[in-house]
Amino acid sequence: MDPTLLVVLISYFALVVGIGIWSAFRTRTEEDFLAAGRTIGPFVGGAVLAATQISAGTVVGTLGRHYLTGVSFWWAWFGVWSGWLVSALFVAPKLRRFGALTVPDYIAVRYNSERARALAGILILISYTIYLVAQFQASGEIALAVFGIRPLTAMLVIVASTAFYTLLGGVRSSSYIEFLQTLIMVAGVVVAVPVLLDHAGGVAQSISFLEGLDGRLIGWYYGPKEIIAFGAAFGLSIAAAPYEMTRFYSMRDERTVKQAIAVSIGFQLIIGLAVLAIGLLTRVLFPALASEDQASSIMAFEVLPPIVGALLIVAMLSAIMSTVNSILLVTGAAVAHDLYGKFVRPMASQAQLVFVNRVSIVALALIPVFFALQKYGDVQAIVVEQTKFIASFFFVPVVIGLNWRRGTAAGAVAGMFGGFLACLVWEFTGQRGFATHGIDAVEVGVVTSLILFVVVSRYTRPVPEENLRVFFPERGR
Amino acid sequence: MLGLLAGAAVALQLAAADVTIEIHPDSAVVQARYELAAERDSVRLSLIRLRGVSVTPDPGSGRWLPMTGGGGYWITAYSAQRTAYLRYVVTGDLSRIPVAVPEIPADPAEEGVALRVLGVNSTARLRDGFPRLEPGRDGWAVARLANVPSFVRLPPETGVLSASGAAQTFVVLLVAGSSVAWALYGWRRRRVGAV
Repeated sequence: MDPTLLVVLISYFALVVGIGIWSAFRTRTEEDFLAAGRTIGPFVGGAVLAATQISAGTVVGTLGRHYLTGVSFWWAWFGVWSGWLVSALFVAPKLRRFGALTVPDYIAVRYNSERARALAGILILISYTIYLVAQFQASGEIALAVFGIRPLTAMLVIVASTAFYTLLGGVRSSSYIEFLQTLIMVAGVVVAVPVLLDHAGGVAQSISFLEGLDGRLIGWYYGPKEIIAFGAAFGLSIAAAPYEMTRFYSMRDERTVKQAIAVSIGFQLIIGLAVLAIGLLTRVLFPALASEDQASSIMAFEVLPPIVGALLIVAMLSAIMSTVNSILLVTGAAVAHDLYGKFVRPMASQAQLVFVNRVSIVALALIPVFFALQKYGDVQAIVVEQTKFIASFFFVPVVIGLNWRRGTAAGAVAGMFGGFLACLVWEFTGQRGFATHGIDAVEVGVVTSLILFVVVSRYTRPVPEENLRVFFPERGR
Repeated sequence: MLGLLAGAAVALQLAAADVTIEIHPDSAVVQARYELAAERDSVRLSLIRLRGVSVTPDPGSGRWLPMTGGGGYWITAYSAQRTAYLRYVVTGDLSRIPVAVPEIPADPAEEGVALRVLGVNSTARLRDGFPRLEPGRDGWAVARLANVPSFVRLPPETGVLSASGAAQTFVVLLVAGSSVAWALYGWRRRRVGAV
């Protein structure tokens, strides 16, 4: 292995382990474990949100997609930012005020239904297992391209190190590590752009060559309908994404949440533009890679100077660990808090809940490794699939439910289940006609969910006023 | 959507590539040999057109067609016994030498691409070029890669600050500066907390 890369890797992981151990001594209660004592400020919070958003799907998958398809995929970012704005205006303040630990907590209180809570918990488990597959697959691609080691080995190393600091410290450790990760990633990708541009001989020459390779790289590889579908999948899921929501709870107050979202969009804009440039320039330098998912690793390892390249590889692995950590926290909480604590053993002590949480984190980290080894699609494809499911079952009960008091428990259950099912069925049947019909599974899922939510809510018993008061304090019924 | 998003899944057909570049005072001669994993009549390659650089193919080096927009050439090289050969002469600005890249990718797990450059100035910083070169035998600078690059950028002379060098310096300073700022921030918070 390249000695510079080895030194940077060892230093970074030593830092991660150190902060993990430090955090373990400061984690006492379940709330401490999950929400970092609600002490995070706007800048750190924004970096954490950006780090949670900027995952392997971005650094490996999105960069690879730009490598393969060029500029047009970049417009999907507007869907991402629209999702953040919806979240900042209509979701985050109310959820922060409510102060629940998990999204199923919100579902249970808002709709006064333990049945809805259980369904939300199960759907979180399913969708994030898919997402973890993308993360582990990305780590495998990096390992193959950079270290020449088998993907399984890389995945197990990622699982072990991430589970370690997640188990020890929860959000408190990950919040501060993610702050550093985001800075490293921004520096890594931003610094990579001028180096690549210098190698490639300038913008005009690069564009001219890319146009020659495939005219769509600089123009429209994807049409408006496809871009809207990508944007909808990303935006609708982010507006209601459970793992970002957990981050809101760790921040000081509602104002901090809004500021953090603005900071986060700033980070994402910088990284998004850099990722676009890197994808295109890597195509200029290496026009025929075996897999677009290897573009980022190849660029970092073969093009950049050793320290910058090592830094970027560490940033990519950090992004994977960061996202894996976030998801493990949410899914672990769903099992321990929402399923075990509510249904299996309602009288469980804090110590028992933390124990179950930690055991489920280990189990939930290992299952996706199996699927990642099967390599069902490329990294970006898996990420998009997962966002479509999230949007289909959570957007309506979370975003609409927070802003329409008439939504009921039966409506929420019907909306979540129906949206999930519609998305799934369309994906495997009507989706084949997507190119001609221009109707994506996420659009079918969300619309189905909305119709079911509204219609069923209209004909079922309203939620008690004491449950609604938390979310609609401005007026009585 | 998986079908829509699925990447350019191309069968791995480039078993190995051997590219040699001989730099002369006014020109560079590029000879490339591509070994294919399976028998086929021809292989298509792309060649980037670099500013200030002229490329003259040898007779028998396949069929050359300019790309749309003039950014490069599409080359159809004919293969026999799973091997295709190309030879061309580059004149003009020799700081970057274009290399023909087969459309079929190589196996990422293997470093099957051998690149050798003769005539690089002995005082040049080999690792600042693209791709990173290492000193080889008999004055050759060499690199082993998993993929064929679209050009070779000759390393700069010692004493010239390259973008790579500047980036490296910037990153080192940034990491050091951030570490100090982080420590100061933590110290300040603890101090305020104590008060």
